[in-house]
Amino acid sequence: MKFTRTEDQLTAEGAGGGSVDPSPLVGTWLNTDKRTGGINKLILRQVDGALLVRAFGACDPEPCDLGEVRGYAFSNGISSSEAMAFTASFDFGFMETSIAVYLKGGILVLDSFNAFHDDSGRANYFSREFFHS
Amino acid sequence: MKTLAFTRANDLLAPAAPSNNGLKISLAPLTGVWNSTNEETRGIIKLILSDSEGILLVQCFGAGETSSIDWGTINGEAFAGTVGTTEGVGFKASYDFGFLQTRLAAYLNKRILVVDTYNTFKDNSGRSNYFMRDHFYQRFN
Repeated sequence: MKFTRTEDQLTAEGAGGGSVDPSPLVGTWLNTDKRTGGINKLILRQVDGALLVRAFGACDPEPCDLGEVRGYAFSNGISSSEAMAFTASFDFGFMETSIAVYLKGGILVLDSFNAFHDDSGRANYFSREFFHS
Repeated sequence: MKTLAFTRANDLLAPAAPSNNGLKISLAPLTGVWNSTNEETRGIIKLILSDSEGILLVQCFGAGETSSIDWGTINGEAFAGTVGTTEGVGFKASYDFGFLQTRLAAYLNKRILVVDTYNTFKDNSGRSNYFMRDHFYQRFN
């Protein structure tokens, strides 16, 4: 079996966990900072085994609905099928936002990588936010 | 003044802030040799980040049984802390090993480089796609 690091290798007695179940991630997640200028809410759904991710941006006077995209779930190891992280990507045309998210102690930690394609002079930027259910 | 499209307040430049006029993000805070804080990690043991004419190059070394495994060098994409700054504070990159895709999502926190990997197997080996986090520091003489 091919590998790139020790963590990729199954132990002699161990078996792979197979497909990752996204259900531990499902629900509505609210930013712990009510005054955030970033993403203030996430709605995660499971449909036919797939993870769907809907995000809302902090806009005035109402949040911006960023739409719903496919998410990809990850476990904490090759022998576990319980999701504890996911990735997703939003393409808004003028910018692309990739989010890389994981669960830690009941808090969802979200890293976003935001790249502009509109020659507006804005720098591509990274942000990190925290969510509770 | 041109109205900028946005998805959230953080996408907007402050009224008094000059735009970067397309200036590239400074890679200097990211470049160098980064060693895992955990010598017994089962993930990435070392990264080398370099600047090639403004392009971030990423070379990772995986932890092997007897020696490290060179993953090769790929292009990364650097990110600043806000739309109005140019100092690199994070990057992303993606390795395609054929049997496995590894996406790196990394950021600096007080000179510790935090690297999260999102690993997707494509070889029907039964291994679960998994997340892993490693921390790195730079040695100074």
